Order: sequence, then structure tokens, then C-alpha cells
Amino acid sequence: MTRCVHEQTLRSTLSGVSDELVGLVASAQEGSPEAFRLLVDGCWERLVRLSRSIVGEAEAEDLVQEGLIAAWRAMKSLRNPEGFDAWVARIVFRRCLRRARGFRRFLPMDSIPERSSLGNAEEQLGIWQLLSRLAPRQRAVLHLTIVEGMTDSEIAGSLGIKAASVRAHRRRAKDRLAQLLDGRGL
Amino acid sequence: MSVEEQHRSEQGFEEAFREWGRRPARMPAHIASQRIASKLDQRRRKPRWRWLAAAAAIVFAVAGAWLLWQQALPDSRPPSMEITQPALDENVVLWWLDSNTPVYFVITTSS
Repeated sequence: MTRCVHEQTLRSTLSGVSDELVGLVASAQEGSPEAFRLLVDGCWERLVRLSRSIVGEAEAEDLVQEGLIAAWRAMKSLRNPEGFDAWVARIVFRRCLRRARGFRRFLPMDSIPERSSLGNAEEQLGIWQLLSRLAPRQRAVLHLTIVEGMTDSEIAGSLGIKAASVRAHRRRAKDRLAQLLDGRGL
Repeated sequence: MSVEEQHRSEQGFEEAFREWGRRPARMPAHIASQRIASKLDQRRRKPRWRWLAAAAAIVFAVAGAWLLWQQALPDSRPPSMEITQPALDENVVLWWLDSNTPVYFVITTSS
């Protein structure tokens, strides 16, 4: 009985959140910057976390800002208001991918630690240094799996790829990480 | 590295990654959203001015080009519009050397 009441409360809360989101998206689509500001309030932290795992600390927030401004301009193209979160994540993700591809070519050699220095690899390298050895898509999948705890279908929706690709990226990322943590992959 | 060590290492990474990944953004959400909202206003205004300026420049350019073209154009009007052509006798032939220079040939018989 208690559980049933709890579920009903939860459902009505979720439905309230969803209605509010739909209302804000509709207002933003009609050109309300205030509604869009409230939408940004709700998704900023999550998008920065995703962006940081793909491009690193320095550029993450700038890229999210750019992505959100691009999202504002494209608001009318969003057909399903309830899918706003995944839609805006895809926009930011694509920007992060482009940026990550851009600076992968210029990765300075001195940022790669020497193999002999590896002991407890995850401690010595730091998380970002390990992540930066993975492909950008692998970083994103790993982030959404480990940090956000999302399901494969949710990740697929947020990155605009198939669930099977999500699994493939995650498997490759974990293989590569295992090599790196073992000190063989550098 | 043994399988157990490997597993421990991966778990350690996941925990550290979770902690690293969940750090809050440097810029708080309410400041970021205000900053973005202010950029939205600018971006909405800017293109409007840009479009107006571009449209005005195009109008001026087209008008200027048309005026220059009109000035440079050789006068194609028929000479008769410049100078009133007199009624000619049957034995008079009129040639226009240019729009201002008529030449009359009068044909006479020798008798």
C-alpha cells in the first residue's frame, strides 16, 4: 500500500516535471529567452559533465555555451519537447566531437607519461590523461555509463547512435583502459 | 597483472572517474544560464541590424551601378528625337553623321 502511494506520488511528480519541461520548451520555441534560460538551468551541469569527459576541463564550459546557443537557434526543429534533454546533449556532443578531433592531432608528446613510470596507473596518470587516450565517442559512452548511470538506449538517444554501437564503444573503451591500466598501451 | 588485480584496477578507475566526472561545473548553472540568455538577446538583435545594413548596401550598390551604366551608355536614341527633322523635298537625302550632325545631299539634274 505504502509502495503504491509512493509510486503514485513519484509518477505525478515526474509527470509534473515533464509538463513543466514541455511548457518551457514550447515557450522557448516561441522565442522566450526566459524559458530557455530556465531550460539551461536544468541541463547545464549535466552537459558540462559530459563535455568535460570528452574535451577536458579547459574547453568544456565554452563548448556547452556554444552548443546551447546553437540549440536556441534550432529550437523550432525540435519536434518532441520531452526529448529536449537528449536533443541538446546530441548538439553539445557533436560540438565536443569536432573539437576533440581538432586537437587530437596536436597532442603534445610530453603529455604522454613514460611507460616505465607507471605503477598504480590510475593514480599516476590521472583520470583525464587516461580518458584522453580513448576515442571521443568511447569517452562519451563511458561517461554516460559510469558517471550518469544511463542505460544503453538512453545513451544511444543522447549521442544519436544505435544501442549496439554504444555496447561496441564501451567494450573497446574498457579493453583500451585495461591495456592502459596494465601499462601496455602507452 | 593478474585478473584480480586487473579487476581491482578497473574498479578503482570507475570509482575515481565517477568522482572526477561528478564534480560541479566551474560556473554555476544560474550564472551560466544568465550569460547564455544575454547572448541570445544580442544574437537576435545583431542579425536584424546586419540584414538591414546589408539590404541598404545592396540597394545603394544597385542604384549606383544603374546610374553609372546609364551615363556610360552610348546614346541610342534616334537622331530624329534630338533635332526636329525638317520636311525634305523629294530630291534631298539626309544622313546623320552623329546625333547632332545632319548632312543633306541635294540631288539636282544637270539640265
